[in-house]
Amino acid sequence: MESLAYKCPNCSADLKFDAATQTFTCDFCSSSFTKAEMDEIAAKQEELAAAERPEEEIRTDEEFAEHTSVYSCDSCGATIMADDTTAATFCYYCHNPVILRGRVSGDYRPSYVLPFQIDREQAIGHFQDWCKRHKFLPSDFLSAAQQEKITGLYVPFWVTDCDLNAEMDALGKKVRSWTSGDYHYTETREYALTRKAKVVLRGLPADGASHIDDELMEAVEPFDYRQVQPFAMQYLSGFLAERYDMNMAAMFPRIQKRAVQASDQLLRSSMKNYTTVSVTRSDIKVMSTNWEYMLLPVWFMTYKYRDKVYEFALNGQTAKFVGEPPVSRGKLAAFAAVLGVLAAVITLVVGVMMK
Amino acid sequence: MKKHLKRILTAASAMLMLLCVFAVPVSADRIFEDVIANIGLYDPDSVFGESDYSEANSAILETSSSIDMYVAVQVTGEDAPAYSDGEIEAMADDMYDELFNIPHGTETDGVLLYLSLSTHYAYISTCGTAQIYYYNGGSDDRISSIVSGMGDYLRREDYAGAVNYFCRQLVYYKEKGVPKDGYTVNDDNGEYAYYQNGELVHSETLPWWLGVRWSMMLPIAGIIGLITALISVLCVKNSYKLKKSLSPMNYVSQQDTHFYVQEDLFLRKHVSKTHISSDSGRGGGGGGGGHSHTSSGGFSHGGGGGHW
Repeated sequence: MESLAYKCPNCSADLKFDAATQTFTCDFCSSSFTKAEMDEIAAKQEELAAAERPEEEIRTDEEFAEHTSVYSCDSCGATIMADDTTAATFCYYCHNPVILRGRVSGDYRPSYVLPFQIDREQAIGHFQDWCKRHKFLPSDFLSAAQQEKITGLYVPFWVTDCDLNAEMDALGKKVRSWTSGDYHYTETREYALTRKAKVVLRGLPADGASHIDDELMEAVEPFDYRQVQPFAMQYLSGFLAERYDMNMAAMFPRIQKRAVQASDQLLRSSMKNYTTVSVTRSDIKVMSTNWEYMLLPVWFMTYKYRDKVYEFALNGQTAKFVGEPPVSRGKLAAFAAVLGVLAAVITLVVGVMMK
Repeated sequence: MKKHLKRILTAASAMLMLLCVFAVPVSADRIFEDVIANIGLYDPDSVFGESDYSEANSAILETSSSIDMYVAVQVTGEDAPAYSDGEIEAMADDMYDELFNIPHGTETDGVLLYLSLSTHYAYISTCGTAQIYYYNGGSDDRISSIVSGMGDYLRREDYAGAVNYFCRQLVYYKEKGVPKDGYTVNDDNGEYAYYQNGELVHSETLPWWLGVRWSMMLPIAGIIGLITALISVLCVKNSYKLKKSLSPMNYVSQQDTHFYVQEDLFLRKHVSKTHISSDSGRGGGGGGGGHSHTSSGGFSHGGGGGHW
């Protein structure tokens, strides 16, 4: 399989996509290129590659045949191994970015890509701000070694538009009470509620990579699709990227569940003028779907603490940071002890004052 | 009249004995010379034999000196009128006032034991700091303990033994000191009496350290502290958990979504009524402490009694 690293036309060094400027830059000669210029450069490079290079995919071991592929780096010639979902990676030796073109072509070619808006330095800054707000993190959580584990990844997402037909019957009760003389009165008015709606959802996302935590990816939402671009491989340069391993059929239950949940919430929200609402019938059906496969930017970080691996994600567009951080037992115990003693002292003081 | 005469004679004999013997050293601080003769045993119905009387009276005098308080014991015979417990209590208070408070003009420290053989009722009236030393409240109810202990002697009709026991207990509790957190509250005027720096203090308010039931407050504060600590741990841990994902409602297109049926049909109405109970219940009880009351002479007395 072919791998491709975009070369600077000025110095032949590898180009990287700069999220801050939305251009392709060269670290060696500081050249910078727009998307249109890169398209032109890429076309030329591909022509050259086709003319000069033999088929470079070498499968060396039958055991890896199904899930592992081997590529050679365009920059240093080193052999690169990648699993069958990796679409863009780095050369382990020269650290130059490598895009595995076969992984983003045909059925696996995304329709759109949302380019990173947050670069590595900004991601680290957001991460540090987030850590400062969490006072019970282990003291060494902010160490430089941890920051090195931050990785920018284009995550394969199925983004779906859904049309649903939603019907709901419910019993609504309005209760009011008052006191008159020696009696307390309670009046209950009952209503039969009927709701029927055509519900349309736009841009409902679900990641198509089975090994990425679904809850983490749902927590990192939302993405602003107004900034998506038609897919071009140049955007992957400088970041890791994966292709989906769960197709539309496999994704449908997840999408359906969220779409039904949204419709259910919508119908219930139209019954808010009641003290209590008991749903007696709910019939929500997905009538049609429209799927788009796109790559969305996420910064990932893993952290090992007390033999447990913690995963964090930062939305590469909005900088929303999510994850379940470790809690320092010492800090938490000290805090709880101080609070407990304080509460006990206040209780004693209040007890004395009330006497 | 006859009773009073006998009482006066008895008191006079006691005074004479005291003056003759000079056996009892009396503190000038709390025992006043002008009423010192009133200390002793009053036996108008001659319940005691001569030797028993002498022995009991000596014990009372020695005890009075030892505890630095006035002590008197009144014993009425089986043929005496059967007064009610309340009447006996009032008579005991009044007798103490007559013997010690009124002659001196102020409230004095002392104890009077009234034994009614006709009703088998023993009552101890306390005054001044004796109200605190011979405490009648809380877990350290010394008056009840003394009365209960005397019951063994009284049931055997060993009245001298009962008086001796009474005297020993007065000395014992005086040496033991003021009970922890001890104070009395006057049931008639709400006034508090407590012992502070060696003096009995009467006050409308109770010092905070006496008002607090530490034995109850400390465990409560400890439990609240523990619960607070646990809640804070749970809150922090909960706040560090992965936040819930964005509600899929955010992906609902408001322009394209529309309700084609939105119907609220009124079905029925019903009204229920419940009677409000006027019995609002009583509030919590008062704090700890013993109880006192005001005698007809206007002096504050504590004490307590019981039957045998």
